[in-house]
Amino acid sequence: MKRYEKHILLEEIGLEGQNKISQAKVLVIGAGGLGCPVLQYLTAAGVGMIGIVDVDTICLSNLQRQILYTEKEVGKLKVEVAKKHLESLNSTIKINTYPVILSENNALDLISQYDIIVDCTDNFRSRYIINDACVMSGKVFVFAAIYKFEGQLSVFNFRGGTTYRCLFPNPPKEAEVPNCNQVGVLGVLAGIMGIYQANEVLKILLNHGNILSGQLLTVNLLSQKQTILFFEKDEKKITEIRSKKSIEPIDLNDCIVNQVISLEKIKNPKSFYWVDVREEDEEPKINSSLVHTIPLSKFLHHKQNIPNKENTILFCGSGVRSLKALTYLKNAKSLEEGASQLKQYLEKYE
Amino acid sequence: MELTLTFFGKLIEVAGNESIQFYSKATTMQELRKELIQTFPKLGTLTFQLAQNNKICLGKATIKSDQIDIFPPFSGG
Repeated sequence: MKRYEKHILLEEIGLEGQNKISQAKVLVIGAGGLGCPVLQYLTAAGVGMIGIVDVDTICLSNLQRQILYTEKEVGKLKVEVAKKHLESLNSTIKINTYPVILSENNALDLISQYDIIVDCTDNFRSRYIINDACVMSGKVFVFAAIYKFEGQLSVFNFRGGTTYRCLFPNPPKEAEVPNCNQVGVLGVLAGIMGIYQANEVLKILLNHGNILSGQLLTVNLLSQKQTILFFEKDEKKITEIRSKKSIEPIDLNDCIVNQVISLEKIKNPKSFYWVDVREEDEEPKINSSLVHTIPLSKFLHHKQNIPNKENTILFCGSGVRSLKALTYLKNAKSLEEGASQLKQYLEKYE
Repeated sequence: MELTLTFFGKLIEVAGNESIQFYSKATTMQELRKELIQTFPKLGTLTFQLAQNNKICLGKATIKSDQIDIFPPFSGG
């Protein structure tokens, strides 16, 4: 407890409050610009169990704002690197990693294991999935989102309160969503908004201060203007979500998600250039003229053999290494499923 | 009535300025929304909400303030 003495000295926290923090389980979805500071401060504060969900690997352009990572770690899985650094910051807490894409299928299961969810994602699809999963399972979630020099922050589903859908009932249409790789963002904005999220998490755990429920905090770093906008609960919408047995599919693919393609979306496998990024001795072998082999270990040097990046689908055993290879081949796609499923699919097709 | 509109996020780019003066005949937020889309057709393709007196107003709420905030959802992280 020595490490927490500055918290314990605060009358508002004390030993009792620090114990609440130590017993808490918090799931951070997205280990990017917002996720890094959230993870660092929650780890430093001693949150007992932290889960990290992120399927992405580190690329050089992340380092401008994703301050958990270093140059040497470019190409590595974010969740693994984050866990390593966080454990060296605080070895007394438990950190679980989930290198998966949050989806309608896994969200409820992931969320059910934690008390508080922190939405640090960079796309609307994940945000609506998190909202619906949290409403259905009665979990509070701390939301932040950023755009250039501006941020938004709120706490949703706090003691049955307002949700993201009370603010924006439906996901925007695909055409109006900016491509997240094309919009610039001020690095410190992600840091500031992430720290605000960590602050809300601690306030919820300690049951102290004004929790931003029913309120949207907007922050503009150029004007240094902050505004709190109040909004009402949409009871009808909340009841509708609560009554569902499973999460309704979100018909929107923005950001990283649109670089991942599922077999069910592929009508004709012949229109793609398939690249197996597994090492040469891995099973099952796929004997198809459509499939070309470039192991991940040689990918950087042999990727120029790929004729048309836009029509290329990378795959591996489970969809993790193919995502890693995607960082070297920006315009290609990564197969959600693994080699065994692809093998079955191609056999059926041929 | 003369309104001061304050835009957030990418709506600043659509309106051309963070804050503008706007003459409106609207008495409700719904009518104001229609006028805004007529003046800035790009808004018709975007998701946004309106707020007055620091309160977000959906649909038919009456306009009571000459200061209106107009903001979109952000997705970045």
